Amino acid sequence: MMSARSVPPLVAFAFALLLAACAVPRTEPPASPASSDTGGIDVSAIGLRQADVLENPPAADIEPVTAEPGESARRPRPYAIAPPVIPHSVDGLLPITREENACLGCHDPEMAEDMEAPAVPASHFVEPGTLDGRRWPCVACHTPQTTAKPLVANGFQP
Amino acid sequence: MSATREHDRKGLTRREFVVAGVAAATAATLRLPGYADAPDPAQGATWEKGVCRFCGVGCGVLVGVRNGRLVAIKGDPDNPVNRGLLCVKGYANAQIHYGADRLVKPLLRMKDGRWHPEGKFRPVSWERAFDEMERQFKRVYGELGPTGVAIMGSGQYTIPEGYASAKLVKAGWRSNNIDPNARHCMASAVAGFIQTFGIDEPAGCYDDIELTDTIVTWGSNMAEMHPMLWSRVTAHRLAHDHVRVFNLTTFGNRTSEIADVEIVFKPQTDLAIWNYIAREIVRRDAIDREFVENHCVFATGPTDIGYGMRGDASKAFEGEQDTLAREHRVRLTREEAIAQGFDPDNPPVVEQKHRNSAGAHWMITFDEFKRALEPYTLEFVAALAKGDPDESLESFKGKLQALADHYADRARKIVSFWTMGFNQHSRGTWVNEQAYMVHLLTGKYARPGCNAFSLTGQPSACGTAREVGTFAHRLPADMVVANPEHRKRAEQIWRLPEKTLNPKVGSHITKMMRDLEDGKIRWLWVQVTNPFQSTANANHWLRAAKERDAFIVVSDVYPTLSCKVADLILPAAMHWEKWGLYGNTERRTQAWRQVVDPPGEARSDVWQVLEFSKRFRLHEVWGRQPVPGLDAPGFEPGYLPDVLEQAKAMGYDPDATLYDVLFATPEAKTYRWPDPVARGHRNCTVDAGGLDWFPEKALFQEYVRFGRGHAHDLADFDVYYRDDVRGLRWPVVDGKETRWRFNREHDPYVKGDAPYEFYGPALKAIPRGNLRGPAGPEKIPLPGKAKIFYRPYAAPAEMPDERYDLWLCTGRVLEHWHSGSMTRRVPELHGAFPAAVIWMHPEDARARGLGDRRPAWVESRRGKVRAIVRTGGRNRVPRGLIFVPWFDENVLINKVTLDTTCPISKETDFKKCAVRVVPA
Repeated sequence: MMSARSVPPLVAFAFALLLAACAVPRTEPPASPASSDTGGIDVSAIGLRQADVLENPPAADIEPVTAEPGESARRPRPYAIAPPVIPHSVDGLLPITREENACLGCHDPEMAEDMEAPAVPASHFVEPGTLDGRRWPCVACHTPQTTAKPLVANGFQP
Repeated sequence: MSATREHDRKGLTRREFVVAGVAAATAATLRLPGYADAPDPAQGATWEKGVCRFCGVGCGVLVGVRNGRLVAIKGDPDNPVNRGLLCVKGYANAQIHYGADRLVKPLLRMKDGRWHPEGKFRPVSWERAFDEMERQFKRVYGELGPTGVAIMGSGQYTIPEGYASAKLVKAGWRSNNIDPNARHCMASAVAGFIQTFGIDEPAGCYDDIELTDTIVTWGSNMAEMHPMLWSRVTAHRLAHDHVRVFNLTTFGNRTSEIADVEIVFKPQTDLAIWNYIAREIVRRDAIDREFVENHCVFATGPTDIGYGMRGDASKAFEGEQDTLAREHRVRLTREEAIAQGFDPDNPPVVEQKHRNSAGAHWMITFDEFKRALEPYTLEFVAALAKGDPDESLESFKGKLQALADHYADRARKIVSFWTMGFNQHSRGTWVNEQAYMVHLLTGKYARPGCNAFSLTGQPSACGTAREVGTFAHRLPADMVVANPEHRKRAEQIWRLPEKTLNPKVGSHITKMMRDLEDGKIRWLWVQVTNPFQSTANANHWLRAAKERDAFIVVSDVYPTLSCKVADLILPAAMHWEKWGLYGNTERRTQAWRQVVDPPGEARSDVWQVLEFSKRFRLHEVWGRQPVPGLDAPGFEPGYLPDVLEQAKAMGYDPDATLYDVLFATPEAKTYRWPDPVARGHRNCTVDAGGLDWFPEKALFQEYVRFGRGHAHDLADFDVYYRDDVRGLRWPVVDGKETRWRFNREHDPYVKGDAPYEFYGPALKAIPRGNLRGPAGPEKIPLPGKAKIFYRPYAAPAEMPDERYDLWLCTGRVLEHWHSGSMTRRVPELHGAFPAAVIWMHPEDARARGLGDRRPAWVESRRGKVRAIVRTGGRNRVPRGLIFVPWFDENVLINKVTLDTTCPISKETDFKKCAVRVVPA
């Protein structure tokens, strides 16, 4: 499994460093042998990998979101104009080819209300009813999701 | 599934839904109409222009800032690259700054209050960090000289960063051991450009997408790797029924979904496919005779060039010996024998005699060229190249014929795009040159809508790594250290004593790893890259880093895998926390201002280099220095001369620091801070250094002197910051950018009356010869000409066999960039693709007792990793091949890959080696 368990120590580590950044003066005091080998940050505590670099950690599974279209809750965007993620399963909906785009089956503004789906917004059209062709491959911006939890907290705020 | 649901999922076809191409849209509608569909993205925010930090496309972004924090990103509607759109990574340009484990203090491995290679990381001051770096540097430099130290950089360097690092290494330390991750990314493209045209980087530009009517992708999954360029291709294709798109690849991918024709070929056989196309062009008399006769010559080079692996096997693992033996002696395969004109029933054993002179080449006649192409018939090439065992030979032949039809059709414009499938190739330079072979034969190059175009992977692989020349063999503006005239020019601009610069080419990035293992490099500074994750055959280098007596410094924004083998970690400022300029794939230089402060004690890379340069006095580095193997006219064998007396005569004090001499020069200090161009923005380099001058601007203004008048002209620093400028494509002459180089109508450097002039100066005098070799030493000058190379099919260094029965291809996915250190910390990107997987054909999985989402080992002669198998999803691999992306540091697939490189470009082939897969 992806290691959601690793989040608290990593966050703590980062915050400890931030605090250290505020507290430690530019020139370090001379090392004291008495305190020398306690504390310190073990190499396994930094980064996204706990295993030693020469070991081969177990495989992490990827569990896709299984909610059917229409059955999933919309996910909040990180900020207002960020592309929304796809909160439902895309089984059978991809690929988007030259000839077919299943996303529009529900998200075309003319269908969206009936389908109770978010409509492709006006920004995606060069004029009403004419989609900007550059936006045809929806998944370049809108990504289907898995159930994985973040590896590290992200402090971005809109 | 209910009937209703079934109906819903049909979606809309394009015929029911009107889709506009970019060309059909008016300029007014290209501006996004005020984001009426979303609330104001950032109440009270100010917006600043900049460039995306990920791939080499160079999309324009606008970043919203409020109260000293980044709060939003949007595509820049005024930037012609992306016209307001961004891919999912582009929208993460702000979030990547805020992962909770940003590095904010230098961390040194310590035990008992001292540096210790097995100690734990402890926060230290910058002063203490530089003290240890300096102590270790001087110990190693004293013992080994300039070749014992190295910097690894990347195409993520801003232009001033790369320039500062290259100047410190080359002019200060007199070493050429600086090489970028870009070596792994596009060195083959560079070698192809230099050998063919005598000058680096593409003739055309992105405008060609909307001007062409045929687009061919070769080893380039643009849909995922260059998504916003692909969106332009998609729009152009959807709006124009006559446009055709071909995708040549070793497995089905998203690019195929828009393509008209998908051609799945066997790894390495692209070499044969190009020769088939060329043979058809010759056979059908589709050659543009006027173009070829006036502007081209034919050429070839040696074929016994090895595979860029280590020349000796003393460090090899037991299992590696058989592959490594092919570095010196190769029994040709039956197909190679046919392709190279030998008896297929008795393929010869060929000694690889030109391993160290792989780039040599000479002119041949058109008749020789034509004769060389003879074996590449449709029958032969189709049987060799068909990559999907489940496709019929007839179907595959039909596709190859259609491809040749499109290249040969005089009425069609055509653009070939390629990326890592070509460049990361044990014959990467050859296959680049083959693309030019076909485009030049047909005259479909350097004119609007006709281009052959290597797409880069890093945001400034072109602008910094290539143009600044942060390579072991390069100087700025396409100059090289081995050329005495080039060194002289650099010494003049840099105000160095004659013979300060080292004429011996340094170690390329893969050789740096080998040198680390051999104890030849014992001090390494890693900047803006993650080489212990990104270098093939990583078990060797990880072991070396852990076990050898070498001091490794890593500057980064997050604790990467490379940080785990570092002795010292330095916290770096990130994209929007510093001033910078990048150069994208179409020669467009773009700039941004610092908009927020770095966190904690993170510092810009420019500050780090300048500050560290204060630790060196001239007499410590400009005395006589040993350089093993140095052998150049005017130099004592094995040594760089003492240049201190000359330095004194030039007014330098031997006690002056490299900071004084290289960076804080009287001229540099004329670029004052504060500067009106800043408009009140801060500069963390200035802040941390307490400066009254503007280092980034000073570095850039000095750098541009190299290229002006030499067909690499850049505008002044301030121009790129103007509100009405969204980057400019060099050469910028009289304030005007250049869209199509070598073309008289568009390029001011074409001086004569001819419509085209390939004026690049490099390698423009070569001997005559035939397919077997050069006829003599006399070199014929070829001013203004491009070379049409014949290059044969050659088998890969390692191929599947009974023990390792599958091809392994590595690469990226849309959601992650490079080693994932930024993108894996963005919730939406990690959530979309949390771990690397093994894409495998369902039948191959079944035959191994595996299935979708079952864990498996991938194992080669060199190492193994565990990941889960995917038999579906976005990639459709043929039987016999697996694809594993490399972003995931828990699935270190580069432990498995083979460090074979193109012997000319030294770029690693990450796309093919032999593996087996077993249940885990």
